[in-house]
Amino acid sequence: MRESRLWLIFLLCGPLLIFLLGIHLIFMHMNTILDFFGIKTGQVLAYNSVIQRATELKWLVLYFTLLLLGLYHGLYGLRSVLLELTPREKVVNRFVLVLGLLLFFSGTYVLMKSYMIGINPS
Amino acid sequence: MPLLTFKIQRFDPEKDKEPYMQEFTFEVEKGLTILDCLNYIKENLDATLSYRASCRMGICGSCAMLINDYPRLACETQVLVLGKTLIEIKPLPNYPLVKDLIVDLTPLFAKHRAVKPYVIHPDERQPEKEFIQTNQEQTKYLQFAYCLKCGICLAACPTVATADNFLGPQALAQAYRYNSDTRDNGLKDREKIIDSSYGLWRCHMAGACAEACPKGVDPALAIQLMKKETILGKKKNIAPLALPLVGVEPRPGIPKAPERTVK
Amino acid sequence: MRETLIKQRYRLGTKGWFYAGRYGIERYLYIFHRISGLGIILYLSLHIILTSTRIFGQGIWVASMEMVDKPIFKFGEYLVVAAFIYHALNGLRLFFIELSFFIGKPSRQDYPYTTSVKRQRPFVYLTMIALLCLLVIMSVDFYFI
Ligand code: SF4
Ligand code: FES
Repeated sequence: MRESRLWLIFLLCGPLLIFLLGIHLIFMHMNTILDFFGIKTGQVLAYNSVIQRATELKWLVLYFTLLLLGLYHGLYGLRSVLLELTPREKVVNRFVLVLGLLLFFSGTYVLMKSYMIGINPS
Repeated sequence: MPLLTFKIQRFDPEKDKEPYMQEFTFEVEKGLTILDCLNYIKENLDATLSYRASCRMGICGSCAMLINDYPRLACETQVLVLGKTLIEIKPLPNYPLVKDLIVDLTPLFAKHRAVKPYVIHPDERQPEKEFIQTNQEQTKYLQFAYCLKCGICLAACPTVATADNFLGPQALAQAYRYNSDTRDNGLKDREKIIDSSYGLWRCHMAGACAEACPKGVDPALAIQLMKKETILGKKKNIAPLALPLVGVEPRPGIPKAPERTVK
Repeated sequence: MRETLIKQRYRLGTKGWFYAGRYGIERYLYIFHRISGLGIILYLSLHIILTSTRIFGQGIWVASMEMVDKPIFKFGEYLVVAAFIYHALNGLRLFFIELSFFIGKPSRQDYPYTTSVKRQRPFVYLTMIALLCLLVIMSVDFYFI
C-alpha cells in the first residue's frame, strides 16, 4: 500500500483514540471526578463487574475498537521510530506486523472468552 | 575594540585521530562577520585553517557551519550580534567530515537530485514560446526557489540525525517548489519518490529546519503543504504558452535572430 | 574504513533527537511526543497481557490486581495517564499542522523572515495551557483515590 494511505489511517486514528481512550480512562480511573458529577461507578475492577461489562455490547464495541485503533496507531508510530533508526525496512515491517497481529488476536481472544464466561458462568 | 575568543574545531584526516578545539583570541571591529574573522585567522594567525566560502554574501551556500551551537552561514552572521565573547565554531553535523570546518555535502546533492528538481514539460516537445505565469502563481513557489543548497536544514533536522536515507527538508521543499510551478507537469514522477517510507512521512514537524534556514525558505511549510496535497490530491493548471505574435513587423535595420543551435 | 568511521561519528545519532539545543520549542515537543508515544504503546502491550488474566477465573484476576496495587505501579499509571494527556493534546496540534492548517501560505520573504513554525506558535501555547489544566485535574484525582 502507498505510504500516504497508511499514514492517513494513522492520522485519523488519533482524534478517534483521544475520544475513546478518554471515555475509557475517565470511567476506569477518574472516579473522584465522576463522583463529583454524581455518577457512581462502583468497583470497576472487581471481577464480577469486569465480566459483567464483557457481556454488554457497548463495552464490547468500545474495547474492540480501542484494541484495533490503539494497536494500529501505536505500532505505526513504533514503525516510524524504528525506520528512522535502521535502513532495514523489511525487517521493521515484519516485526511490527507480527507484534501487532499477536497482540490483536490475543486481545480479541480474551474479549470473546470473557464474553463466554459472562453469559455462561460455570 | 572588543576582544573575542574563537574556539574552532580542527581536524586533519592525515594527521589527527580525533577532532580537537583550537583557540584564537584577537580584537574585532563592529560589522565583521564570522567569515571575516576566519579570513583574519587564516591570513594572520594560522594559515592551515580550512573552511569553505566563496561569495561572502549569502548566495553560494558554501559557508554553513555550526556557530555557537546553531547552524548558520558564516558570511551572514556578524560576530558582535551574537553577543558572546566566546565563539565556538564547528562543522555542520550530520555530514561526513572532510577537514576542519569542511563537510562533504554529497548526500545533500544526491537527495536534491533524487526529487527531479527541474521543470518537466507536459509534452515531450520543446516549448516554442514562453509560458504565461501570473504573479500569484509565481508566489506559490517563489519562496522555495530561494534555496541555496547550504545544507543547514539537514543539520537541524532530528530525523536526518539517524536516518541517512530520509530525503530531508531541502529535497522535499524542492519537490514542492517544482510541483507547484505551473510550467511543470512532473507531479506523478515525483510522487513515487516523495510518497515513500523514506520521504514525506518521516517529517514530524519539529520545525528546526524552518527556523534555521538562512534564506527564509521554510522547508517545513512546503512539507506540510505537500502532505495535504498528497492526501487530498493536487489540482494544478498548466501554464499556457504565449500566443505567437501576429502582425508584428520588425523595425527596419534589425538583424534576424540566428538559427537555433540546440534542437 | 577510515572514511566510514568518520561518517558514523558525524551523524548526530539519537543524540540529535534528544538534544534540541537552541532550536525552537517544537523540537522539544517532538521528542516528548516520541517518548510518550513509545511509553503508551509499551503500556498497551502490558495492559493487554495483564487484563487477559481474567479468563483464568476470579482467583487469578484478583491476585494479579493485587500484584499491581503497589505505589510503584500507581506511579507508573500516573505517568501513563500524564503521557496520554500530553500525547493527545500535542497530537491534536500536529493533526492540524500536518494537514497544513494554521501555518500560513507561501509568500514573498522579506527580512526578518517569518516561518510556518512561528505562525503556529500560539497554538503551542494554547496546548500547553490546556495540558497544565488537565494535568492538575488528573493529579487531584490520583491524589484522592
Ligand atoms: S532550504 Fe534553507 S537551509 Fe535548507 S539548503 Fe536551502 S537555503 Fe539551506
Ligand atoms: S560565502 Fe557564499 S553563502 Fe557564505
